[in-house]
Amino acid sequence: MPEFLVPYLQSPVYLFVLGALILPLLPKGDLRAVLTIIIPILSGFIVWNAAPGMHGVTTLAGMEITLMRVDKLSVIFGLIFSAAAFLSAVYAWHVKDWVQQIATLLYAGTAIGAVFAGDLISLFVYWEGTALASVFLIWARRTPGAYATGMRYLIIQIGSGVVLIAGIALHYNATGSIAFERLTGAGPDSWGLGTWFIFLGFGIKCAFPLMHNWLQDSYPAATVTGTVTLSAFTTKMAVYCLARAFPGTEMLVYIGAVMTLFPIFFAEIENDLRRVLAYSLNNQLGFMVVGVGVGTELALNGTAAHAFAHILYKALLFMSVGAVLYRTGTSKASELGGLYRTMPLTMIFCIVGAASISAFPLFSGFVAKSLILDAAADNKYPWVWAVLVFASAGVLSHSGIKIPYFAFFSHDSGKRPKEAPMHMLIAMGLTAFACIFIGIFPSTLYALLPYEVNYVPYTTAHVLAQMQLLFFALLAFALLMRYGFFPAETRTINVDSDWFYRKLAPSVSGLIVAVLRTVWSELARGAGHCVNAAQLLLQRLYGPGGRFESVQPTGAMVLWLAILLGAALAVNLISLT
Amino acid sequence: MAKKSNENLTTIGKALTKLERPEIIMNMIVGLAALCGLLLIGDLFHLRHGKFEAEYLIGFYAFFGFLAFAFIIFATKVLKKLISRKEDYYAPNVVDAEDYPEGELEMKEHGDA
Repeated sequence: MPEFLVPYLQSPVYLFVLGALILPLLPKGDLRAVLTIIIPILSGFIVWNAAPGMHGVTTLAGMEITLMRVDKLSVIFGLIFSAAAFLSAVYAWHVKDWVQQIATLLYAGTAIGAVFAGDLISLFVYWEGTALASVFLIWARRTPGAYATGMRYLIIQIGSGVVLIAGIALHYNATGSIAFERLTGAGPDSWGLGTWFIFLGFGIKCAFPLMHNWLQDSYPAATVTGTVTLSAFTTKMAVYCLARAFPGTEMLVYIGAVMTLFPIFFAEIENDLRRVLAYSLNNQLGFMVVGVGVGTELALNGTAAHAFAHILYKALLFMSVGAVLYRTGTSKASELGGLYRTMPLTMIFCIVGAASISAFPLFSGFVAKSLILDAAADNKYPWVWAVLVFASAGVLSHSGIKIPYFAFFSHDSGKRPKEAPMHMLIAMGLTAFACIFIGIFPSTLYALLPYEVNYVPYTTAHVLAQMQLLFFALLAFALLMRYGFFPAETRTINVDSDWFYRKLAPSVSGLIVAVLRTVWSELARGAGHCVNAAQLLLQRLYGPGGRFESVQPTGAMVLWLAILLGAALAVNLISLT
Repeated sequence: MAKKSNENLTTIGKALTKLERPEIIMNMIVGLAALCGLLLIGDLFHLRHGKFEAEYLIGFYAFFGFLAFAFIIFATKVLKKLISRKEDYYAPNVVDAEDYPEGELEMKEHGDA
């Protein structure tokens, strides 16, 4: 084996790349699906057994590249990414589209590569890799709408990479280091421009407020299985990067709090259940970002635990709504309802996901989210803590109730779809099992966390508080529903921050173009008059019987004609573009 | 789509349809309210403790949960009037106004092989 390849084999990324290369060579059918399932298992095995420390160190263009930094923070993300890749591969067993299969492998691989990257250059490469690979999960829907959505997604994702590489270059210039380590220093006041750019690059992929809308725009546009895959990686990779580079940056506490808050309202209005889940994802990221901002050991443990639990229950919710879409052709709340009659297993799995995300005791969200809330309370952020408690009630409203209620209960839509196919049920069953297992045995999750855990989630006080919060919110739901105050779902969409670049910017630029075009055409008209006048004059002078007819050679006329023709062509060309 | 009968449902489905009668739904709401009452009683025994003074108020989480939920629902009713648009608002560059391509799906009815 060539020597230069050896460091690259330290990171599990090569497995995914190899898989993507082999896959098209395999015969069409189950063998390909088996490959997409085996590779994440192998990756999980490598990550689980990796010895702590820096591996895969090499030099590239004089810079030290570290491909495999193994510590508890990277391992927990590496493990859950491998698990997510495995579960979504099981869920996607029926997919025969090799484009999606390869995209899924490369997407998972680059995301895992990113969390093990020990330097900013390889982080950047993997960062862009996730963007390029994942867009194919949207384009694979193969409709004009999905194509346009994919383009918007790609521009923003690549854009975040451009911001990141600019930040890395500035940072390298200022410090001479490309190490991917704690960059927050003494807080934002001490940051150079490079650090700000890196922060912003992370923020775009983490769906910070006003930079968030790529998420809600694109995830519902992906294929049934593509959305499940998308939900796991990009945003949690960004959370990991923030936890690695910017722990304890106070600004993040407030950014995170806003993130938990505003998507609640948008999710409540939204009709497409997959977009409701995308808003809900945004809200969950907020909890993780608050954890990074608080930055204590408890808080960072909370962020890692929440990312772990969240990837599972969010995938489960996307799987169950995906199964409904797969069987009925729609994921719109206004078109669904009453499906429990014929899809009871999918309904049960959906409720497990809903209970987990709502943080009911005995489900995974409860044991993960409470770490973050307690950390915020410990560090005297009373308002942020109150926002998080409010947001917890909000999570119940849009993910805990809305998703299962409108899909499986509510009014009878008359649809009687067949239960989800077996492989989807298996994937949902495994994920649901993990959600409950973590909820009942939190120590298994706590053992994986970056710092030592001295936390007991199941105290009487804590359980009682959470049960009161959730059950009284449920009571509010029941009463509002019973007495007709609960808004009905309608076939509408929400305008969000993307309105600025999807409606305002095009109309402003359209206006500018229209103004310029008018000015230009008037100028051209004026110029046309001048040309005509000049032509007339020339005709009088040089034309038949003209004064200079006998004096000037014909060659001069041809030359002038050519010049006029060229000018006319140039004018045409400019007006075309 | 026309309403279909509740014949030939799955076992769980059939059992659950029996719960759809209005009086049973009302009973469930009463049951939920009773459960909420029990949870509130827990507060009287000072079972809860917290890090902020507010947490020691009797029924703090209960009222917080109830009011938060009600606030969210009423606020979204207002917000919906402001930000809701027709599905084809951004058409043709969105998937909302399109049907999901059927070739990618396996749309089967209950009872189909």
